[in-house]
Amino acid sequence: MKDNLEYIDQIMKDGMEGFQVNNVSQSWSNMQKKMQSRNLSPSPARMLYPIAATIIVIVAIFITYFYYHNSTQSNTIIHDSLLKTQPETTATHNKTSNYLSDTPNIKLKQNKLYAYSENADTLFRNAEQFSNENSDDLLILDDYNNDKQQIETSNNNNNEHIPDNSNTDINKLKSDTTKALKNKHSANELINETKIKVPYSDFSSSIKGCAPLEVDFMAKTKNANGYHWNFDDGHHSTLENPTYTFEEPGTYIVKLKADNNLVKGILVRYDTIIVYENPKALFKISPNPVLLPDKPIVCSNLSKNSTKFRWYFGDGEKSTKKNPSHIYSSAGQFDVALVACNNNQCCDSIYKKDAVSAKIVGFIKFPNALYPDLFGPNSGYYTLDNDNYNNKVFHPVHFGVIEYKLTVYERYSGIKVFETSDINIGWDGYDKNQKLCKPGVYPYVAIGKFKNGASFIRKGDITIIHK
Amino acid sequence: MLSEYQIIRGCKNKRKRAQKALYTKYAGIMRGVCLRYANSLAEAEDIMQEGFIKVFIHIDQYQAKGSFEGWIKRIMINTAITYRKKAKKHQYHFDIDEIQESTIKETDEGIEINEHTDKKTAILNTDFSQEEIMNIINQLPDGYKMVFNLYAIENFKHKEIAELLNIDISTSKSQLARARKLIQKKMMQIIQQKNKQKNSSYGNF
Repeated sequence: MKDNLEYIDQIMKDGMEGFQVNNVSQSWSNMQKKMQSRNLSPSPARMLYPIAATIIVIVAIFITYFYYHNSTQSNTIIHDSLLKTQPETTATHNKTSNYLSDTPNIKLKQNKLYAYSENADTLFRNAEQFSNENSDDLLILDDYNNDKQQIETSNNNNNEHIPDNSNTDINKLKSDTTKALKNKHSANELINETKIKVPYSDFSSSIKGCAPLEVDFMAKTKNANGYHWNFDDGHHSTLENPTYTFEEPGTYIVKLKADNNLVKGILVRYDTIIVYENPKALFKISPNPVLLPDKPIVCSNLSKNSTKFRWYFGDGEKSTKKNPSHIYSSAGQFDVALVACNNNQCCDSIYKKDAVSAKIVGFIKFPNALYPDLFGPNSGYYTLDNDNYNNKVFHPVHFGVIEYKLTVYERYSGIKVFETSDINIGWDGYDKNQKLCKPGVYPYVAIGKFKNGASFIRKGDITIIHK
Repeated sequence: MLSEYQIIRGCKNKRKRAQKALYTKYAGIMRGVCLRYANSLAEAEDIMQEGFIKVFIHIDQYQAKGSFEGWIKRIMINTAITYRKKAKKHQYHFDIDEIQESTIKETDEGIEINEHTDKKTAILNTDFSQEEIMNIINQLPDGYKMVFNLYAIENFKHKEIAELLNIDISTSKSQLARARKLIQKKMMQIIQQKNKQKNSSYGNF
């Protein structure tokens, strides 16, 4: 019993493809317990460390902030005195920008902090709040009205101001600066020069699609001169409008950071990109060529990550079964296509040109030897399915035969020794009188028709051997 | 949901969130893998968690050369084999011998009963559900199960299987053949049951 059972492997493998057992309760919590016992995950006590660290960092920030606040105040004195000692004419355009870049670093850092944490809108708000609270750095803020007011006040208080160590007010410094600059620049010009535009983008969206997902990104950002896209999978781009293809399925949070003249890396935009897993369509067809009229093709579906299928057999017939079989009604070359989809409506297709050649042929083939049963005639009845091919009966191997006539002659006399028109009856080596034929060569003629209507003639000879 | 890249990066830094994400992402499918090697769901769960601990410990060794899922799967399979060996140290070889006799006879009978049906076409034309397939695998005796899983599903060579399981190459081959026959028989049983159900439902009209 030699059965080729390799196809079992494929079925089992296909059947188990993507097999999942979900919804096991408390699985993760059990897992955590195990991990804790192996020192793999932090114990509750260890989890306090980050909290403690955060508190320390916050305290440190406060201390630094106060320290810097004091030191900036002393800095301003130097600036103030500089401005005072230097004549008005030297306070040029360039000077202004110098002054700007000399503004206390902590400010910019603070700005950055805010910028990282929020998007453009809140950045504005925070920056405003910050400036109102501390009012020491209005110059770098995009607050036109505020600036105007400042200038107005400076116009009103047109008196010389002597810096006071104990009570230095940045507003006074401001008005001093303004005043110093006023000789060369109008108030409006100053505002234009000092106004730093914060880049912003008011656009955020969520994009879903099947892998590989190609996305066109547009920064749509104003007031920015540098871009940094982070695609969340280790890839970056510095183009303004990059096109990026996400190969791997997953959820990506794409971040856009923009730069302007002063501040770098302001986060201005999030995009959530969801990339679904794509199916992969694949199939095999056997047998090829397939013999018509009654042999089916069996399609083995080797697709991955897919739940729904549509087969096109190339003769107008379709199927939605996973592993369909199909019988062609006519001969020819057929293209077979398979579309495999998953639950996210992601589809993949595969098209094989001339995947099947269907041949309407019957065939018939005769052996050339016969060992008759020496103990007596048998009926000559045989079936192809159950034959042990021991040549005790002379019969053809055949397929698709509907009309058949076999005649066997004696070689020299030309007498018919056997005649049948039943394909299921073969010759047992005995003549019409049930007498065993002598060993030798016996010619035969077989004529008939196949199912498709084609007729055939086979002539040959058969050698009888007694053994 | 984190992307695979983020998960791996997080797990390398022993981030709890990433570990949980990795676990939730792959637990379902890995439980399925382990179930093929286990005798019960509880055992599969045990093997899987053991495997995940190995994954978390050795994640630094993952070079991102092959597929991440494949890497995890391979760890699961190795864990399952070790688990099996541990659990059945003394019974393991017994099992196989005992079963060989009885099951082969059964198999041959099974084949003779269905002499008129072309079994291959019947099987190929039937859609087996994943549960049915899993049932068939779970009903296999331990030795067959291991060899069949490793050879047919995981595409190991007989030589590798022999080394992994400490058996002869010829044993591996013969067990595979017997496993196939047994599976074929079980498939035919399922088909017959299905046909019966069909017929009985017609009868009710």
